[in-house]
Amino acid sequence: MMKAGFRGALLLCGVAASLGMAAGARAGTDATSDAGPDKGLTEAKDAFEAAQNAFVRGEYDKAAARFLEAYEKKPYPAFLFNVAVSYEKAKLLEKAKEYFERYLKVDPNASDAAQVKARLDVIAQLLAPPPAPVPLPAAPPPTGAPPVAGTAPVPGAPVPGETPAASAGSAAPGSAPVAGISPASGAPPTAVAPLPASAPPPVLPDIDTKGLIVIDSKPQGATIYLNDKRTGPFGKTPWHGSLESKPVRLLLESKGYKPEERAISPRPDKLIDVYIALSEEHYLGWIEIVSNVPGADVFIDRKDIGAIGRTPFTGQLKPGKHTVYLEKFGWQATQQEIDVPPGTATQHTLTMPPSQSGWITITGRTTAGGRLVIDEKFGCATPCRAEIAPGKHKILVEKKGMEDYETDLELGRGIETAIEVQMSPRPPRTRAISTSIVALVFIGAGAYVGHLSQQAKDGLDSDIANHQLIDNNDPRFLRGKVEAIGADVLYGLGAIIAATAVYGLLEHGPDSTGVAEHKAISFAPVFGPDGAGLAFSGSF
Amino acid sequence: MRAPIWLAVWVVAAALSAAGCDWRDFDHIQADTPVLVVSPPSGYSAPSDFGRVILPLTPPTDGSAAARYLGAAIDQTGLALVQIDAKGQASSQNVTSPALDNLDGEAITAMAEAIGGGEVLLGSPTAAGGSLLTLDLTSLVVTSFVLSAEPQFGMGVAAGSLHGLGTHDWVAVSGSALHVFIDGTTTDLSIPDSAACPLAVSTSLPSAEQINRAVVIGALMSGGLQVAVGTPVISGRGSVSLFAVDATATTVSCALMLTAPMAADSRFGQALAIGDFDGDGNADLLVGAPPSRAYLYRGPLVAGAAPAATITDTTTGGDFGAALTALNLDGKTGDEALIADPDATVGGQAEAGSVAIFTGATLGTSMMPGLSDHAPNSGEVYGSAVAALPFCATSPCPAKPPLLPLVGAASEIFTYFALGQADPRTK
Repeated sequence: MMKAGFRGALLLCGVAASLGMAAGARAGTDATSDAGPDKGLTEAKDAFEAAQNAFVRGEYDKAAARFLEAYEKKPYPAFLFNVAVSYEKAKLLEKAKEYFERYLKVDPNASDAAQVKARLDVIAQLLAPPPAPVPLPAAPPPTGAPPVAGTAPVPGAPVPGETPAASAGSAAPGSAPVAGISPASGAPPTAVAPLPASAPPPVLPDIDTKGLIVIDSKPQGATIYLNDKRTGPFGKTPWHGSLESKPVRLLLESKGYKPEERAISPRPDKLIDVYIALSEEHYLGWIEIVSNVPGADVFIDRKDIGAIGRTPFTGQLKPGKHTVYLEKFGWQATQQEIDVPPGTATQHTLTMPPSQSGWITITGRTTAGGRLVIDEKFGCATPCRAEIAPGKHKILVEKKGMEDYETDLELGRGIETAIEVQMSPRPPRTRAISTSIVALVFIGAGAYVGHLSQQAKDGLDSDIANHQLIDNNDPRFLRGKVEAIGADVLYGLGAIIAATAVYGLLEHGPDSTGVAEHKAISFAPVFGPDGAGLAFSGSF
Repeated sequence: MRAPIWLAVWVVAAALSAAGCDWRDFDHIQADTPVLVVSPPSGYSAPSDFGRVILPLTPPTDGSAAARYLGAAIDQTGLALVQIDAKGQASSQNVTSPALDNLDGEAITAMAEAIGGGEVLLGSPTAAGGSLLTLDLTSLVVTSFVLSAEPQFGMGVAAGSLHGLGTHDWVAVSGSALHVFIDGTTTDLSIPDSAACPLAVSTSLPSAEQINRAVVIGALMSGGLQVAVGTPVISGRGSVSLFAVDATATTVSCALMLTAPMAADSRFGQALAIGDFDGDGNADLLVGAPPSRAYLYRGPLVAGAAPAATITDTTTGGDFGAALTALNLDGKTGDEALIADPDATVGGQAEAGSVAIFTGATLGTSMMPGLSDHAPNSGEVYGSAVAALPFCATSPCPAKPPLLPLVGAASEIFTYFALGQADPRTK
């Protein structure tokens, strides 16, 4: 009955899952390709893409304007960051400074807040007024000297403090000289003085725009996991932000809704919008199984298919009655009938008392493929561990082709006895079998020759009984006697060979040996910040 | 480790006990066979030449054997004594003596035991003479008795108390004369061949017909004992001559001659046997006339006596009548005649030999089957010699001990314990 019921549950779960996946797929398509129902997001995405195109073409001021437009459509802080970067690329450091500051203001907890602040410091140094004028040296200033602060650099001209590599492509030969900057032709210097040679100008590290990930769901508030639930919740929808440029799997889970997954590949030049409409799971029930023993194997309805998880366990389950089993070494297995209502979350607490049994563990490389027999009953396939009631037990480890290992053990409660068994190979029986065949041949020949002898004797007896005048030189006497002796010899040889064969069949090799080690296992209650439980400890 | 070893021992023991084939069973059966076959003892000079001349002996008075007999070779010097105990087990020993060595290899082809036993006369004839020797059965010492230049001297011998004094007289026949040695001394009363009582045998006779010439002593005629001598011839009718011995007058005279009834019986007299076949108390004479007849002459014989019965063998190619003996097999009145045919084909084996047994007053009834080797061999010539062996299972020996058929072949001698009367052996 339980199996049938569980099959039914699985079937319904499978149907529900199929329906859920279909719904999820539709929702995902809507969310990712049609930008969902949010018009502002769509417009922001368009502006973002236009900005990226301008940025790639080197039209930084245009890119900044488009990023700003996107921000006006959707106030994602990453847009402000990209505006600042564009201005920085456009050598408009004042503007860049302004938008970096706005970025930090809007998203003070941004993951890159510290780096942005450091960048602002460098920009501030670059924008700071020059130190007191000093006499100009006789020699003209070197070509490519930093422009005077406050002058508007020509697009494409080197930005003060930027690395030569970053500005090399912009310093085209023959470009028009910047106003206020002494040309190489030897124009007289005015108010601008070069930075002291002893203090190198600050350098702005290379920077790029941010990509953007926007994750939203219906309903909002779904838990987001990245790649695996084991890493814990990543956030809740709606969420937007940037991720490292590597593929990642999104898992969305919300109570009462079917979980959904998506795979995305974040890039710095892309805005990825993930919108998932979660399908409701009114059919299934939501269970949470907790125990005083964390990490216990959880089985639902049947154990032969293996554990479905470990405590604490949460998941969907077909409504109805189910049996929950918890197992963990050192604890008594526990089971409980639970009733799962549809579309409802229930919590079930199972208590596992410490085990009252002992354990025997068989180890040893040579035991692989053998079996442990406890009190003439199969225990487990070695190497293995078996739970066993306290008391005296007859332990047998047997394996084909190996000598048996036998011992008597007295096991205590909470004691694990580990036996390292070294099995010795049993002598091969091939020779004994061939010897047996030879013995059978000899015995068979003896029987035949004995039969001939008996025939001769019977013939003589018959002749005498019939008053035949046989004499003592009748050839049957010699022949029969030789045959009788021959039969005896053959029987004897056959018997000796048979005895040898029997000995060979019963011959033992070196005894299999084992080294037993007893481990006392104890449990103690523990209390910690995450809860209370029993701690396992062993003395070896 | 001990358990497998014990198991192995038990397996061996069980297998041996299960074998159930005891070779000693054959020994037990062999000891009780109705026929005892004796081969020559080790050291015997001619292992394949042992049974053609045999002489049953009187059992020893000390009970050391139930029966005994001598066997001799016909082609070289060879003599062995066989003794049989009360259980029928035989032992044999080779008789060796300087006197036998002096024969220079000549065979002993005629033997006769003295009355009362204890001594045996041995005849060793040659073409140029012959010799007589005596064997002391107690000491098995052979002593040379008489040497003669008379051709074939000793080709036939006999012993008896011819003069009625209870002491033994030796009789020896050569190729041409009869010699009687009174009281076992060398006093030689001889009588030559004559027309009335022929004694001469041709040296042209086949050698097999010259050995152990037929000489018997018995009360064949009225008035004492006579010596009957068979005289086969190359052609014509053979004859049997009877001689009377007057010990007092120290004379030997021709008493009677029996001539072969049929012209073809040239070997009439090849073998002679005396018995009381009709049970009338008188000795009857059985004369062998190989190759196919034997004649029964009822005693007392008289001149011109005709055979009372003619026993004819219808098979061809044999040698019926070459050897004869008379003994009572069935315990009833009247002896039975054993007439040998050593050349008979038996079981497809040529010259395997057989012995026919006839009973009745005129030997008109043949006891079937006759005797032959149970496993006949070609050339075995079973029946080359036949005799009656006295067997005394108890001591002292009764006055008339059971007589057992004794049949000689080329290299074996057969003794029949269970033929007709009860087996005399002790079990």
